[in-house]
Amino acid sequence: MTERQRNLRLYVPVYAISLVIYLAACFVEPTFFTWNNNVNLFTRVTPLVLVGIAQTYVILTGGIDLSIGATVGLATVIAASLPFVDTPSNVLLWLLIPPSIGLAVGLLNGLVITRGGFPPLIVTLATGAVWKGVSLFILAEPGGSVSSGVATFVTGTLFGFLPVPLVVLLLSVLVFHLILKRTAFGRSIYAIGGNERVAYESGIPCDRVKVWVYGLSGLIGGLVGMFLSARMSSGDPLVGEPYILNSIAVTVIAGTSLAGGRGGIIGIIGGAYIFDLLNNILNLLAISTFYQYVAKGLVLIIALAITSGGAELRPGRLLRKGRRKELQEENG
Amino acid sequence: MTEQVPLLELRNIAKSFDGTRAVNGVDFSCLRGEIHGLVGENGAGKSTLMKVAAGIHVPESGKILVGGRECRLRSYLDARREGIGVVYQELSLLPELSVAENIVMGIWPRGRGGLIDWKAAKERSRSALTSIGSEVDPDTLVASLPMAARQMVEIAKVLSQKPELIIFDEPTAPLSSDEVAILFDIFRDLKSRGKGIVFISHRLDEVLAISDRITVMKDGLRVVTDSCAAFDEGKLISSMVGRQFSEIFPPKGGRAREGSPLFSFDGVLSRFGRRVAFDVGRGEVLGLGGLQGQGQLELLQSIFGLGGCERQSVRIHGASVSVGSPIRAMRQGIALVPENRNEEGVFLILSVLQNLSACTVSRRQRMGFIRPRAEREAVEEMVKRLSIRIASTRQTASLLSGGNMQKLVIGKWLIFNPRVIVLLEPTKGVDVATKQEIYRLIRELAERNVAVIMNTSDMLELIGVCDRVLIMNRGMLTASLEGPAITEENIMKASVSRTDILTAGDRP
Repeated sequence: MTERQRNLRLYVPVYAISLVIYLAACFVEPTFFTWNNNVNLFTRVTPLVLVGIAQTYVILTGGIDLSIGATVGLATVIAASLPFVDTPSNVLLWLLIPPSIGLAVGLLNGLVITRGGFPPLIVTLATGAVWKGVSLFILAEPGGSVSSGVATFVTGTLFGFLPVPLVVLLLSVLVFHLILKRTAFGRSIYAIGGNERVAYESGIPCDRVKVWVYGLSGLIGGLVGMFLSARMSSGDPLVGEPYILNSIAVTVIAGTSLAGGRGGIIGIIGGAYIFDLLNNILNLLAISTFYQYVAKGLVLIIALAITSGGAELRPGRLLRKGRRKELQEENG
Repeated sequence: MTEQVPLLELRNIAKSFDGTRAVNGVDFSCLRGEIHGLVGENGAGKSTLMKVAAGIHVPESGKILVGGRECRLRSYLDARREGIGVVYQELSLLPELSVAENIVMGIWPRGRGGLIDWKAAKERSRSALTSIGSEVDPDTLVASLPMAARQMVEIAKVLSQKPELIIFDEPTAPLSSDEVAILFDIFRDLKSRGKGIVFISHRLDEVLAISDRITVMKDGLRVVTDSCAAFDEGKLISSMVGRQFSEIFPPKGGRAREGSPLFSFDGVLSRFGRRVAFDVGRGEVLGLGGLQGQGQLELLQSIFGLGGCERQSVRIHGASVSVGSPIRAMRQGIALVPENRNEEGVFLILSVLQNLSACTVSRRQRMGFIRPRAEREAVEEMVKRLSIRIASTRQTASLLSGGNMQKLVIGKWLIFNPRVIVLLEPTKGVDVATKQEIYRLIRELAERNVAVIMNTSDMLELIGVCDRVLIMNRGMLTASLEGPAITEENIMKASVSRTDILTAGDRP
């Protein structure tokens, strides 16, 4: 199997499933297929796509970032605590500080993981707890305020018709896809996830790349926090919590192997749509919350079964395939 | 051979991977009390055929008969139930478990309450090990054993399952000649007890020495099966490669060493506490030989920043340089082809392109972005130059044969264009034709003034390929042989010698 075939097998199903769910939603609720609703969707999906990209980068190296939720929360809290009077210098501060803090948080993760040689799962679980505590200390409950100019910009349109979230969404997928596929940094990420020892002996600066991958994850977390605080016009220390697991789920649905080295971000938008639309439909159908959780879990497993790659490395699957073929021969 | 029902018979077996026929209608049989040698280049289909017999691969067509009875082998467990055991080339032991835990894996002796009876397990392991003359303690961690001892554990594990037919896939690759002799004693013992043995090996002399019958495979087909007496080494090789075997080794350059050495090393081997020093000239092929495990690997790995030596000083053209990590070593133009390509050489899950370009990605950039065409051209040129057999450069590396994987590792470093290249067992587990190509490449590198340092446990390789040979014993350099002095006799003598040429006042 070549890379291209594998990619097709990964990405076509993700978008097929999200399209099916989308059409189902339109069927259930005709107003769903309106421009306004779609703009709403872009706005809701964008943060999930962004944290999915961050998580994909980390998971491709064979790591994981459980602190991304806390980073998002911290960034919203800080964004909402900055002065909210619109002066150019305030806006500049507002644009620079949350992402920088996200970057710093991420770099710290990377340094602890590489210098200490600790497992990323535990390190990011721990730093996540710390930053969640710090956020709650700064802002015990949702509140604060955000510069109104920025808030209207983020939720507004470009040239009068292009919703800003859609632009952010498409641009970030494009840029981060290019970085992954067309730069030495991206190549190193795949190499490290493919086999870190081989990567090291091929002269790839594994530790440095990993530090920057976690740094990037933190930076994206900071940007998402900024985006969310602008949308909510406030900060919320716990707003990022759902993103911890959702970012991992979106990454895997989009075809990235949790073992690292395989996958990409082309499928991320589809994965995020599957996630969000599922919520949406279940709400539209007025299904009670209990059933919603069950239904969500089941649909996710089905999506995963259809999209997840890596079957060729699972001996059990190959054996079963062989057996199925044999049975077919026997019957036919 | 009389008309007896074969222990194992494979009829017209076919198996493909991704549309490539790995085995194409092959018949094979092994009788009771027979040692059946199976030879062929890497990728000829030997391992695939035997994996069919072991239940790992389900063939697309063909029949498997065990003791004359047709059966379906759908998994390793099915094969084990039918009395077929396999000693694998890449050992199937779990390194973080003890020897005993490995040996009883999957067929644990049960004690009271269904718990594992570890006392019985150790007992069983010990008797399995002593039956093959190994004195390994069942409590030892497998990770702490040298390769040869692990091989014995693997054999003990398979034999403890009391198989009727045992397939040995390249069992002698990590063994010294003494250990091979022990293995052959085990073979003879099994044979006298009426077991069947399939012996896959690239070492033709060994196959000829021990087999009753030999089957030669090539390109997924069976070329010939005949009694051992009908073959000699030349005939085996010519039926394996399908051409007359004229010359294995290309002619040596025979150039005199010029001026000061390109590369020189001085350091103390940590494991032995002994000082070692040597140098290599431009375009010289330096071989490092001796019995296995005498410090050769540590010495050469330390050149590439992988540890093994203390207080080391490395000079290139007389100037002291730092080689503390692979990146630093590469900055000095040093490359290293590792011994274990699966763990250190190849990205199995990545594509051929990503493998071949791994060391040199940053060289083909424009404004921070990789130039895809430059990359494709460099990779395709290397695929052509090394005649790597692949369907596409986007193919994942995991499905390539051993020889082609080795070419990926070497190709990666050829694109890097080193001035010093260290090759550790470059022909380990590689077929004859690829071996010849590797020898030619080594010569080509030397002609381009690259300093080549290689370690090999194959004495003929030392003699046939190297301009100069250093022999190590217990962390000492015991001889430096040059030109006509590189003979089997001299190498053997030096391998067991206890005189250190450095302290004896000889030139290093």
